[in-house]
Amino acid sequence: MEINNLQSKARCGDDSAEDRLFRLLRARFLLLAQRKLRDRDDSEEVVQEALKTVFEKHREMEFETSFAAWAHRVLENKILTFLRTRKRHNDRRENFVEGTAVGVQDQPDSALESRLLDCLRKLNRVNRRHARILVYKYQGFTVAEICDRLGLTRTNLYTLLSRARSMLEFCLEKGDLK
Amino acid sequence: MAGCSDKRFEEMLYAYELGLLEEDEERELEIHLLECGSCFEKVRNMSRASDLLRHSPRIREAMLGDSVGPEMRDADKPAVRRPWPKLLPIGLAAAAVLIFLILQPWDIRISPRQEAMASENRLLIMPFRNLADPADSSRLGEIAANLLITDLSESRFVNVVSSQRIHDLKRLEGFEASSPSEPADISTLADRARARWLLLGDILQAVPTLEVTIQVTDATNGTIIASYRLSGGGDEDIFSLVDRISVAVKEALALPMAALEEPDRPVAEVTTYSTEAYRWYLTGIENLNKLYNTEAISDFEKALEYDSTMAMAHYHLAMLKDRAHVDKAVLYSSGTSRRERSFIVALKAVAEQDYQGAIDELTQLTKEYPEEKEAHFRIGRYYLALGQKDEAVKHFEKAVEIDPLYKIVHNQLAYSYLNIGDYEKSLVAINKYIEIAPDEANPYDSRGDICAAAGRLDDAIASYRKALEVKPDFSHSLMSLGFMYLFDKRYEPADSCLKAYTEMVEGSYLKSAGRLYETYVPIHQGKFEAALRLLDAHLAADNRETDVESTYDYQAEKHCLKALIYREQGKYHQVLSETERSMELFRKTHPNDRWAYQYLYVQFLAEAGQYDRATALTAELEAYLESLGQVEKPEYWYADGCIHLARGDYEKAVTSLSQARRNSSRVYTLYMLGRAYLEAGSLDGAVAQFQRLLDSYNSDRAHWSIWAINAHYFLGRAYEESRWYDRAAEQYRLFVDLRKNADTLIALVDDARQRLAKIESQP
Repeated sequence: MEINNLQSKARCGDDSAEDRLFRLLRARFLLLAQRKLRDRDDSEEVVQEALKTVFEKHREMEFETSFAAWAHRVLENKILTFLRTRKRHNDRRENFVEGTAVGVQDQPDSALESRLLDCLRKLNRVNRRHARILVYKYQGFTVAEICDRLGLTRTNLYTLLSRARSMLEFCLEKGDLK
Repeated sequence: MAGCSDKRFEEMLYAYELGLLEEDEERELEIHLLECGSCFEKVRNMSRASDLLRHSPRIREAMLGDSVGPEMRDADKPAVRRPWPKLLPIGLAAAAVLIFLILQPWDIRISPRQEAMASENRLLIMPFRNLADPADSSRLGEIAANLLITDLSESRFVNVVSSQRIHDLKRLEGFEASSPSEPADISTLADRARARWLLLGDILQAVPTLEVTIQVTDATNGTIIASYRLSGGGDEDIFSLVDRISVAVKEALALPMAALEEPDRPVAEVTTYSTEAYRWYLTGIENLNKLYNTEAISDFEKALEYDSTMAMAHYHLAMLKDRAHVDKAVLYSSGTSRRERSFIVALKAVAEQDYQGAIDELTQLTKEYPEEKEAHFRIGRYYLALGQKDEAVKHFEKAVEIDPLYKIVHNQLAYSYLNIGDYEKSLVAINKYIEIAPDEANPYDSRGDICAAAGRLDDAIASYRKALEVKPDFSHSLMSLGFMYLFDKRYEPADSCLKAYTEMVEGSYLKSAGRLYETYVPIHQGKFEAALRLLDAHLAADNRETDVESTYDYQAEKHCLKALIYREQGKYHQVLSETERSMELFRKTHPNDRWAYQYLYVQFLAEAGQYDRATALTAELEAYLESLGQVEKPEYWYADGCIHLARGDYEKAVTSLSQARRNSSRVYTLYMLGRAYLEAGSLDGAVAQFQRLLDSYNSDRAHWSIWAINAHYFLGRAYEESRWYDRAAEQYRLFVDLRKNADTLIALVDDARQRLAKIESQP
């Protein structure tokens, strides 16, 4: 609820609240945009556009549900516009498929990478299928391809994927599997 | 940073990060991520790991190798054994399995004693004896047996006697407290289960590693088919052990080659990965079998503390406590056995009002598992929901044929016979229930309901009092006793019982129900102004409950009662607004249930002269009921009949309301059909309906007491017009007496007095 409160204060002229609101919003917009665009530069560009619109209009808008819902719609529209109008995105996406594009983090976090590898090996020992499913999913195999490879139904795959991802996150946090 | 207060969103994070959410869910979560710092941080952390998983060459090489070519595709298929040459002797196959198993972490030695023909492969698996801990305090023996039953049940080629069936047979043979250990007793059980094979197991050692012996015998002649000794290696757990035993047992039973080619999922994948969760789950099932629902709920909740993805724990909680668990059960249903999945699919269908879908699913299950008594019980319940009582009774009878001691079905049968008008059979069924469970309160409570329905008020009161004697906190009996006192015009004890009920029950939902029942007392006496004040006070109390949402159902009922009172006062503006409020509140918690109150709303619209709107809503109601697969549609016919009645088209009203009556014995149906008959001049029909209404006592009559009491007046009219004056006078007297303390001027009372005076003045 924090950003909704900050927006209310900003609307009443509280500059420090507005500062904090836009810092929070920028970080969160960036995460959502990167997830959809898979490119830091493109994401920065879209987020900048979205923040500009939010900044210009948030004081005068009557929100149907909440400020957060409205802000999200602004970002969503900017992303859609970007995807429709910029060919550059498609070029970069192809690069990702080829595996040559640089990820969100320009410099890989080697400590995290080692921990991740360790956890995947542990997962592989406990349940080979869970580890395989995760790797296939993140290496870009489609749901149909993974189902075909592992002889799973789509529903089974979704369940196993969620379970595997949860086990991996637990391991990354605690250093071992449940 | 504080955690997220909404667990629903927390549970969606992995699916979001994996791109598995539907568009709407994704949008909802993203808005939440803008608002919630805790969830935002979690997703940000996850995204770092995900980026590495996507792009790190080191991880790619380590996990997949340089190639993801066709050789890997073969390796990833579910474990499928190469078919043996058809003439390969079984003994050789068993030896191959022996070598295979010896090479595994579990050291399994199998010594097949005799080849078996697999013409009938029903297998009875007894709970393992825990020789390391004879009290089996950790329930390891039971866990091992249940896991093995679940795992082998997944095979199309092995007919395993279910845990439930074993429980029933043990009960039938008098082994309820413990498992039989004498060979003769075990043999009796195998015989009753019509099992060809018997599997007995001993746990020799639990720590530091598990050690188990298994013996498979031909139950028909006692010959030992195979025996194994398994010792665990490394950190292997009970689940891995069971997986290996399953493979060995399948081999020993000499099943067709196709059995070896079946996908064989690890048993943990169809149950849980947590021994603790499974232990609590089994305890929950045990309590459920004893109808100790409160304890069972607590056990299933504990199981979920250890494994929140355990679908069957969610399933039982959905049945026992909260329908919100249905979606969780569905979400995790891939982690269940075939049989369990059917129950989950059926429950989901029911949650979506698709009773026919639920019936189809469970009917298929009973074809595969003919002794699945619970499936028959559930099918019966779903037929009842569709108004097909005869079909329902067939399935209840089938369930008690499978298990003559199935208490809950005897109870259900008693009510079903009652519903189809067979009072004698109903009493037989309920007496059977009392015979099986003489120390429980519920059988007496049910007998009270049956006596009340048969119009035997004194017997009903005695039965409810007996139930309360057995269990003083049996709230249903307390509530029903309150209603019976109400019908007996003993208003003070009625009020005390119903207030005590409200006090006794727990939770906002039941408290709200109790407050509704308390208002029946002034309404029954015709104290409408007092009742309206009490209803408003109770609605305010409902809104002060912490869980306000759970009070909406009974708030809707309270508004409906207000509508009925305003209708008696001719205030149709308030009648309509109160009914609209009822519909609005009810739909908040039952968005898929659109017919509730709509038939009444149609009736009131028509009575207020708004025929076009009433007709349009009736058409909508019909289409909706048909979309649910309902054939009989009593609510539609009721609404249609009430429109005709309001228009003065009495013959059509009788036709439609008679259709409604075919599948509804509700007070409002009987009352309005009686009214239609009376207006149409069909006095016999009117007498029959009003008499039927006044012949029985139940909670419906308590709720609709305004119309039930008016029924005395209209029955008097029907008798009077039939020139049956003494009976008419009797009904008028009853009516005037019931309304003698009314605080509102009721036109019918004046008319009844005049008619009575006229009859009494006649020589």
